[in-house]
Amino acid sequence: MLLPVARAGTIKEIQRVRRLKYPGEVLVYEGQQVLPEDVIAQASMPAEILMVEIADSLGVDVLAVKEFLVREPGEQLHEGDVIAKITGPLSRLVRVPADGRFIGLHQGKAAFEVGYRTIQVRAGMMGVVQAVFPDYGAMISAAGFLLQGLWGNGAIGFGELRIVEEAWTQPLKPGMLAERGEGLMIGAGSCVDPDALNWYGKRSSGGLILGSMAPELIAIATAMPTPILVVQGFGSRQPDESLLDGLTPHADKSVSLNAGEFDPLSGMRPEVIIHLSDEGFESGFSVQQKLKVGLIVRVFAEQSWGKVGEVLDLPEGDTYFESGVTQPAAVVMLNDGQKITVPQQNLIIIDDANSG
Amino acid sequence: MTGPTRHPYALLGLDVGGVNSRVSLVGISDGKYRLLASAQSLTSLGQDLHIGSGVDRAVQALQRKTYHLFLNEDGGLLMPVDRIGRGLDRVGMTLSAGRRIRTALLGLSGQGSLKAARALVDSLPMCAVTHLDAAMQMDEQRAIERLLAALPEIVIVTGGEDYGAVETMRRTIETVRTICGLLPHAVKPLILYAGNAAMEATARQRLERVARLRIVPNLQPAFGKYDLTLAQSYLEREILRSCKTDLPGSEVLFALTENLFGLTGLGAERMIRWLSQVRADDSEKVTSRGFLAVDLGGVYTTLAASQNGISGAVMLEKFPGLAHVDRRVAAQAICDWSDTPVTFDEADQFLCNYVTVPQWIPDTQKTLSLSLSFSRYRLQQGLICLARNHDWLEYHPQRGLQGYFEPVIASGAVLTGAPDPALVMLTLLDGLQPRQITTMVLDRHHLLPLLAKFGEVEPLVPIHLLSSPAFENLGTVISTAGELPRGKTALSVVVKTASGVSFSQEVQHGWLARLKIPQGEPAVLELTPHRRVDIGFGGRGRGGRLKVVGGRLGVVIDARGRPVQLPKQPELRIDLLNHWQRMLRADHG
Repeated sequence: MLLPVARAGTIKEIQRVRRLKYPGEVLVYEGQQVLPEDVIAQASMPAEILMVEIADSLGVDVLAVKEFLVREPGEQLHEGDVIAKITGPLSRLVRVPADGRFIGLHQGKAAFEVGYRTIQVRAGMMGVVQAVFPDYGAMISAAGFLLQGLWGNGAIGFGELRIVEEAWTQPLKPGMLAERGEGLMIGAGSCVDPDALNWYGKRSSGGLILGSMAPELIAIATAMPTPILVVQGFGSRQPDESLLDGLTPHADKSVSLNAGEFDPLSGMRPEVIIHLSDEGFESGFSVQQKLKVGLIVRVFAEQSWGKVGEVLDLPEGDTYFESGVTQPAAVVMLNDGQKITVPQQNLIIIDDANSG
Repeated sequence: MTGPTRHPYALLGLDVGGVNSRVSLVGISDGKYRLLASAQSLTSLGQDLHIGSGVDRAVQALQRKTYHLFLNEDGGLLMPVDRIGRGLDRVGMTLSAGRRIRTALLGLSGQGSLKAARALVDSLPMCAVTHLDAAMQMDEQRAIERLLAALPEIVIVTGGEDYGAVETMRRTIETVRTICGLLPHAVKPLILYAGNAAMEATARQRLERVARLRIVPNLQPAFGKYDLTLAQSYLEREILRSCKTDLPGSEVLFALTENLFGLTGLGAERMIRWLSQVRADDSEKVTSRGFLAVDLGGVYTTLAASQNGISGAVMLEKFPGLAHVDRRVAAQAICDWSDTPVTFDEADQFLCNYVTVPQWIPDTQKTLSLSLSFSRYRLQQGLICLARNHDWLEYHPQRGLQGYFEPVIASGAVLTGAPDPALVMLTLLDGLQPRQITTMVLDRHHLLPLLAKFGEVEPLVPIHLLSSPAFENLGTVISTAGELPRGKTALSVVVKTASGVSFSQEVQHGWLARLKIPQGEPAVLELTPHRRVDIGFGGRGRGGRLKVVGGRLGVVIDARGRPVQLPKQPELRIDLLNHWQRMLRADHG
């Protein structure tokens, strides 16, 4: 069975395409080093409009306004510029009240574009621009430890990794980490306390990497500008030691966190990249992979949700489960020594969970 | 077996969903079209993947299950059927994988044209990112800014019954024209004009040069009367066109079908509408009879209903937004319907985790209970939305589903993969709360939408398959409605089966009961309801004879009343839910 893959391992070439949905301007060049919050490309979209009454002001019919225009659609006009006038003994004129681009007439009014909104696509990782897609974006490449999670709050950040080891035996609390200040990426086992989320979320502009998080914190996390990644799932569950083991060797290293939502269409997940220059990288990347004995998987079973283990066996045929469903099963040895049998569909493959 | 004739001999159906890809082989057996085999695989979506990869794995698995050879040595499809009967005549496909298209709705009033536009958008994988009624459009500047902020891919302009509201429609057309003038070429929306027919020429004159424009019949030619069919067909083509960009490999699959592909939800609605039209045209003239299809899919909850030849459908996203208040409502519903003790936090946690692993399947009794409880919530939400969009469908959570919907055809992995038909029946009864008489049918292989496509090639295919075992009759349900003290007899039934067995049963108000009529065996029921109970025979206390065929659960009497009342105390509620299950579960007919 082919299953989704969430990576947790060192990768030689992590390539990510950052692309606008609409054409715009690419702000980077090939070979350029970028940081997670750097803008790769941006497009401007009209956002604010100004309607200037012409027909009523000149006292003419809506359909006749065109005859009295003195400027052409498309022109950039400035505050005070005349846009339409009637000459003669009873001359009248209409001036533009603000700077803007004259778009055209709309029901006897002149429509002006006076404000833009900028749509940007950011790097979301530290890396090098490998290729530029003119008008749309670029491909960024990096090497390092890639850790993909299940949920992100949509924000992007960068910082030095600090692991709150205490938060692997009990939920994260304010004050568990003595250090404060910006630029820290905090790794913790679980967070169930809104005060803790606010404490670390506000005091660190880098981000939070959490094993699990209480569902009631989702609304708070979604509103925070600090990136938050949940790796195991939601609930007040025992954090998985493999996450601690995976992060610990990288303490104090530079970490990019792109906590974007999981996109099933692209297979992209919220992810952390810990930038490394060591050897021993894997190559290749896939979003689905065939399940095999020996692979490291994350398990989604009631009592072991989000835990990591190794596939010991893939029994032939279907297996009967307590719920009554019969499904292809996998026997998994969890990192805590427990052996469980789960439907294969309730697994995500995570290669190389403990390396790096 | 006979060789290929002008009738297709073998058809392959592909159903590509957001989570699962299913394939079905339909061929001729004993002179009728039958499902020969089916298989499924997880849908392949993502970087460097081909949407056909999941289909390909399922096709390989299908070939291993059947003696009918349809793959060549290289794994390619053998087409057409050769003289010794190998191969396939046609491939049909339905698709529900992919993203929702951002759509803006411009109409006159929320209860009129905008409601029709909403019904159109909800029936397709589209999301309404903004809507503007006539009052909102009076402030032109604000209206334009709202549209700019929404950045829609499609703008639907509707409003004005035929030859009405000319001036308002003119203003709407001008607003759209201004938007199109403002937006860069790459983001100009497609304009679908579906309003007052008298303004079509104006729409064409003002909009054709500034955007891609399509004119379709007015969505609401007269108040309360919708005409969505042509607009749906056009939008279906547009959505499938966008899939070619969004879903690598979809173009190859589309080509394989030689234009026999479409959207899954719309396929289900077409089938349900066709059934309704056939029934309305036939000699029985049972014009009040309706049809309902529900699909609890991996990404969408789809409901399609029809009555008297008219139809409606909704495609709702399966999960409420995690940061949205609806999540708490859903979690509470899970607690209320769970037959095992579950705290609100556990239900909430289940919901949040389920979102992140959409392919997950319940492997314990507790998670199965959570999953089926969530299914009840999904069914209820689907009906609420369908009834909001279509006045002819009468549904209220406190009153249940009014009218005569026969049958209800159900699909979706959560139902078809459930281990026990009693649990499926109970989920459907609790979620839909039908009144009168209906039959619950399980579409185990998710064929209904595909039948709409196969029907284009060979009209006999849907006729034969709908009456085949591929659509499993779970059982006819007789629901009682009326206020009675619990324990009072709501319905007395005398059963006479075709094999000569006869028995009688009294069903008390508040209980569920099964009449053990063997599967497939015809029977006649003599129904006598309490004088305050309505079973759909023309009013309270009115009964009569009913011909049925035994389903997997025989025949079910749902005498729990409407709405189904659950005790507030969790222990009592769980006891009752389990009691109902036991009543349906014991010794499947």
